[in-house]
Amino acid sequence: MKRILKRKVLMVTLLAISIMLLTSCGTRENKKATGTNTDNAVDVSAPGELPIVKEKIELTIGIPNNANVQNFDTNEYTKWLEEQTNIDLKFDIFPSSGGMDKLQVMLASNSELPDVLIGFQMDDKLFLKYEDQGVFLALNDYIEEHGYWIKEMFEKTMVKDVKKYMRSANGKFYWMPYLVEQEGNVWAGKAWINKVWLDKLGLEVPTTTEEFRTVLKAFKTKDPNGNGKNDELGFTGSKNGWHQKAYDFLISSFIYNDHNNFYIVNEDGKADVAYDKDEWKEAMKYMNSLVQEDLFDLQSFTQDSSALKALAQNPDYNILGAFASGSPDALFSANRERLGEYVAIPPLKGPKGVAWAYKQPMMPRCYGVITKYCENPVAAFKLMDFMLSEESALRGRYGVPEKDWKYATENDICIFENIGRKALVVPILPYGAPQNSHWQSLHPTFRSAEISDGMAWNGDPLDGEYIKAKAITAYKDKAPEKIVSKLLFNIEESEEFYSLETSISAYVKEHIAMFITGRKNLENDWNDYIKELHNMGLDRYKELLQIGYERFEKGE
Amino acid sequence: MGKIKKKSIYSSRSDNIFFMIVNSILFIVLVIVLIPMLNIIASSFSSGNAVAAGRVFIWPVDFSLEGYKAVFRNNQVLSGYANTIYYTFFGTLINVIMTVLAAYPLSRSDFYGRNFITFLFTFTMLFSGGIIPNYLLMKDLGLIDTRWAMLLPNAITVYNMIITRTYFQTTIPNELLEASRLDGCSDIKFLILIVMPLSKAIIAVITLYYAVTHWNMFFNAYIYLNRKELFPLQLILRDILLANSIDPSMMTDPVLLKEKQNLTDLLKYSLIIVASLPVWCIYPFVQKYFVQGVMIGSIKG
Amino acid sequence: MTTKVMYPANKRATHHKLRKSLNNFKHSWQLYLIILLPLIYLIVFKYVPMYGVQIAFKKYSASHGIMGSKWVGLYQFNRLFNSPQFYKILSNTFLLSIYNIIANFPVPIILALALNTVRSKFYKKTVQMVTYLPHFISTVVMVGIILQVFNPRIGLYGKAMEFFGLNAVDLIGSPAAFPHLYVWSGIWQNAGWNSIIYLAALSSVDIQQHEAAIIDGASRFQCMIHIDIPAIMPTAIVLLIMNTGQMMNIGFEKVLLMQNDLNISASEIISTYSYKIGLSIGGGDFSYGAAIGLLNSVINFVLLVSVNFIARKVSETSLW
Repeated sequence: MKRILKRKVLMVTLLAISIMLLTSCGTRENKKATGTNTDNAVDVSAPGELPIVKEKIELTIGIPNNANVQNFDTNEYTKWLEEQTNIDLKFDIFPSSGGMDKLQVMLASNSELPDVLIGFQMDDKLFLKYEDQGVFLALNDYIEEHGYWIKEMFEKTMVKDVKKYMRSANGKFYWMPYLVEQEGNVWAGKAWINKVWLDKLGLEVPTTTEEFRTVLKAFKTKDPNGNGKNDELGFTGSKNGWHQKAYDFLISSFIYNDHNNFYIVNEDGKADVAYDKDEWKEAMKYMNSLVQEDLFDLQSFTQDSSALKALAQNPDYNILGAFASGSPDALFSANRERLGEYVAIPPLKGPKGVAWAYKQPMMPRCYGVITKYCENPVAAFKLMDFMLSEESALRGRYGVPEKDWKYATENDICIFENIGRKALVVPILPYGAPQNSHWQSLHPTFRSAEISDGMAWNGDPLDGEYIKAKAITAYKDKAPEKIVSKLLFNIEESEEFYSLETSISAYVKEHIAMFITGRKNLENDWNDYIKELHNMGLDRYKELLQIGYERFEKGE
Repeated sequence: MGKIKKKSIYSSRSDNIFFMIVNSILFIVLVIVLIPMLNIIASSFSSGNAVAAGRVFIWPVDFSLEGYKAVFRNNQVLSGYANTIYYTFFGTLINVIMTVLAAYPLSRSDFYGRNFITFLFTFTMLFSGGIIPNYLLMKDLGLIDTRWAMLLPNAITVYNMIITRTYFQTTIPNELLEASRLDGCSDIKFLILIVMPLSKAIIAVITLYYAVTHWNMFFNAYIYLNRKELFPLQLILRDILLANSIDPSMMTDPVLLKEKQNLTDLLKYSLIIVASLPVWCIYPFVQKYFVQGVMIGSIKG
Repeated sequence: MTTKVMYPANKRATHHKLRKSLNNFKHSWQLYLIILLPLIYLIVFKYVPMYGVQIAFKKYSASHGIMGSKWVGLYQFNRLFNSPQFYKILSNTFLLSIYNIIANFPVPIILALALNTVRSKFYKKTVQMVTYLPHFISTVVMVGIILQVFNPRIGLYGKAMEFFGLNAVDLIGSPAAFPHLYVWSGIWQNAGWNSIIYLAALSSVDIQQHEAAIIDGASRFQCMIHIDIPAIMPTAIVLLIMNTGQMMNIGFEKVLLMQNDLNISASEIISTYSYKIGLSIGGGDFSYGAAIGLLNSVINFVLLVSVNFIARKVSETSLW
């Protein structure tokens, strides 16, 4: 009987192996012949004219997966594009996390790529790296000869130097832009304070750093939440939330803070860094003094966004007096009434009268490129050019007209009314849930301010977007005129610069924590800190920084 | 294990103390591990609000299936499951066969070149060519975007092969081999007819290890696979988590943003359950192979 | 089977050895057949791509391919060695790795021995099933749990300290506490899973040995020391050797998630640092990645060979 059992196992194994062999084999049909040979390219229409091609062609689009897009092939937006342009769209789906890594591997191993890559935020360095192989096509000529909607965008947009942002270090344009004019996200360095507590204690919203200290002290000692315990927290934030670092907000009362690598433009008009300046030292001193009076929450260095959220939703008694956050509504999702207790703190005036607001300049981002494997590059360009039209912007973001959204009427109030916008669109389809009407807006597009800030208000005063919108006035236009928004490097410069930056940045961030917590003393250790920065190559770093800044600003 | 009869005459006081200590240690271990696990399971069945506010301890608060709905709402999840089951089943089959084929000869002290070949295997545990050469190899073999890409590259994990070899070395006595030789049994026959049945325990272990590795694998998938139809579960779950993470800089609709915020935290928990439940269920079946007394009678008989 | 040939005595010994090896070779033919398929796999999938290791010494450029890219010698390695924080990063990596291996060694063994001893089958099964569950928690969630539990204000740790009237020191921001948090949370997560192999080894222990020992008057504890432990020693040693060979592969994602500005002096290790460099350059610097990988491999290799050597001298078990 053991024999029979053995034979059965053998049969099952053989069967399993055969099934496996049958189902595993079979790669997809070979792609059409590749090469930079575009002799077979079909004729295209004039700029701005639809459909783009008279005889139907096929284009493959490589795009990162999005779990909220149910099916790219049958998607409404896809169908609309195909109808309008007469191009058949096929999709090569990349994983949404790690899609860029996979692309790097494919590039490095000279694998064939799809005709068009959409939705990958590619860096300038990538284009320069593969320039000698011509993997990514330069679009300058296409824009000149065939561009229509992109030229409209260049005219209409509020971004003054939009072309500067799109140019690479070698002067070429490699990508089609994703440009969304959203005022709300420009002024993202917000901080909030509990108005109910202020009123209870008879205090005003602080306008200077010293007033802030007084208010925090009052919060700490006068028990505004009325529970008999001094459990109220000092100024807090989180280590990884969106613009939620507590120290970031306060530094800008002394010197401009770009919330990232601390680039500034100094009085000589040169690109510089903020962290070796006396103003920076003052900022550290101020925050250290807050820490000593327990008015600055040290947990803000270590807790993540979820922990801050848990604090915000502390049951029974609110303990959150003031905190930094670009988007506070996320913290109060389970306890929305509390959100209404807070108002935005305008930039506080430091002892020298400095009160900068953080600004994230509106800029276009790389969202679509054409690879050398495309046989119809002009048609591909015109497709992406078409995506920049207004109708595409509306359909790409909101979905099918009348079904997923409709135009606002006279009666709809705009969320961003306080900065002068009118309501344009009333959304019906919720954004962020699985759907098949659009591609989650992950493609070249131009959403002018009318569209992106034109969402109607649903009348809810506790609505997160509404609250954020109201807060903008506290920060708008309070940034320095000149800031470093982008750097352009060639390959050698970029390697050297970013290697230096990784070490220096880590060192600086570690010392922010050390100076503020008092682990290192500002009187005794400051000079060693500066010396070490120079040892790490700060001078060379600044040289390169200036080179990159200049090249970008010159714009040619 | 508990086959030792209660010998009340023989079990001394020191034995009782010993058992007490052992039981207490295990109890502490049980509690330390169980509580956070209960927290995870409970969180996955709670409402997003409760999870965000940190109100969940070891029992669901505001019982809801939101977390699971968010996962299964996605139509790719089921195909992900199917694919993963396929890869796990066939992959593990290949793994176990190849591993045993490698481990047995290396366990024999009379195998000429044994140390050298063992070294060859171990060397690959430490040194590898890197992503690019491996990708090029797969490209040249024509395996990109096929199911084989998930089954072949990791056919043998040297780690598992070594522990299998060690098991063979320590539990298959030489006398058995010699006895079988006298009966005219060849090496191949010996392996199949005698060694395998006696090695149920180690085969169970490596089956479990390989199956779990396949179940959790996503790296090979995301580098080598291009078609959605072939994506395994882990890849799809990661995509779901990413899609539901809020990017506050993308302005979203007011109504949904609030729901989505809670969903991200909640999703992390329900995803673990969705991904791990099948594996948790496998273990009890595997465990019965760790039964004592497998060797009894094989020599004496 | 072998005919004895008469040779002068001193030649007989070497000839005997040669004959034995040849005999072994002849008789091993079946074993070679058995191992053929795995060897083919090994050569094709593992050794063929090894030529790619050379990109660690080159500046890889896709247009030139692996063979044609420019040779730069130790340039890529120097990028790491010359970084200002190199010694700190290296010592952090070693400290964390060694601590991890040493602490992780006894726990699964003790757990397996304990489970093996327990009399109630139900209890054994329950504890076993529960302890291996955490292994499946993803790294992201695991770190989330750590941050949650050890939060000095709202976590279990904070509340417990409050209960005992003690001051809850912030462990998450403490460089001194970082290695402990990292290692012991890993043990919590993986001890149960790692004990499975030991349980399998223990299951092959002949029960008659136990019964004989007990009849001879041994206590259960002595049974464990003298029968169980020697039974799993070979497995334990082999696993220890192999784990030493994985030492430099210490979990990169987990460390990255546990880092913060306050503990960075202890939590920056080679892999996280290299990741940041790679990221800042926009990714795709495969030469640099290969160099780091090779460095790790070489260190692992040296450690593995050393520990294997020691094991061979001290015990009968070793990898080769």
